[in-house]
Amino acid sequence: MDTNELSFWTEISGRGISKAIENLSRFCGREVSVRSFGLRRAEMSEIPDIMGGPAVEAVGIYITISGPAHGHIMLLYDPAMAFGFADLLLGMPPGTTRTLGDMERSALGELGNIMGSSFLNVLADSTGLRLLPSPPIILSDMAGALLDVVAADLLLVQDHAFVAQTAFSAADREVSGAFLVIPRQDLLEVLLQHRAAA
Amino acid sequence: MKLATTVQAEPILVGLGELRTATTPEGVLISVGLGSCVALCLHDPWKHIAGMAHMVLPVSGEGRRIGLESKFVDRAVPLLLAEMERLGAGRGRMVAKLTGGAQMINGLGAMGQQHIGERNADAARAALLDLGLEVQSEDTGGRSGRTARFYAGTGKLVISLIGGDTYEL
Repeated sequence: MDTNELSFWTEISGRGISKAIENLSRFCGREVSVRSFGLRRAEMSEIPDIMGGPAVEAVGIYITISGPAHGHIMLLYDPAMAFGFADLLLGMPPGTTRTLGDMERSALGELGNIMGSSFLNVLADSTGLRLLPSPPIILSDMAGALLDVVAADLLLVQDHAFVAQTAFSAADREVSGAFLVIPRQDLLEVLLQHRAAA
Repeated sequence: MKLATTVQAEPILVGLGELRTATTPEGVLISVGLGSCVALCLHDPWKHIAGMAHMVLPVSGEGRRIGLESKFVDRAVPLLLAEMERLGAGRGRMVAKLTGGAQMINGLGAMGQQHIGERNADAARAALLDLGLEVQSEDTGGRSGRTARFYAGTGKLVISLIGGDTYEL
């Protein structure tokens, strides 16, 4: 990937994530803001370090991207943050959620739907490509074990990934998390081919 | 008089798709956060040589490109055995243990890869059999991630889960 291609992917990912956060704010009825956004090339073995290492306990909301090309979206939180998000989404006072039952999982799944479809809509608007999100899957385990799901797919064809990583938060409570977009190489190639289509 | 002391060495991290060996009795190999990946542990109890491979995918032929060979079970198992034999381990004394291979998500995995954890464990057993070895003990499958610590001095494999559950093979 050359500098122009990298800047295109950075720009389109940034816009996708901004749109996802904007729609999340609307859904929650309160301001959610992006605290940081970064994109980098990482070896697959480095990706668990994003959460503080592969042994760290994490909750993941996992979505696959399919259609003309493939990729992965993973929203990762430490469990306390995931509980905080469930409280926010269910309109409960902070500290209410202590485990992830059906209701809380469903709320987090809805969060994944909003974030995933918002992001992919921006990609579609910029390229004309119809990329489809899968229904979200809620996972809870060691970060390394969660990311094996992504690694098992990507490592079939590549040893590295371009990871778009975002931290965000709501004004009145701690709900920061990482929004990872990990494209397969074919997704990057197809997006670059179609960037003039919009 | 010289007192014998056992010094716990810094664990040697075996990352995604890597294989590592430990050649002293104090050596510890560790794979952290195994999900659908499997860790194969080989041990020569006479020489106190231990080896661990942290493998991600069952068969190398399924990919368009290979890249890091040791991420594939069918490549990593013979590579690990060869490396241990080069270090002086004897195949006839080798003890094999296997862990990992969980099913982290239901049914079809990412991009339609079915039961990747189970396939990884099956591939590891098959690759060992091809080399004349059998898995002596294993803890595979289930739906939980694992951290595996393998001790070169004793051949003990200690497995930890989220929440603090720990047991040994």
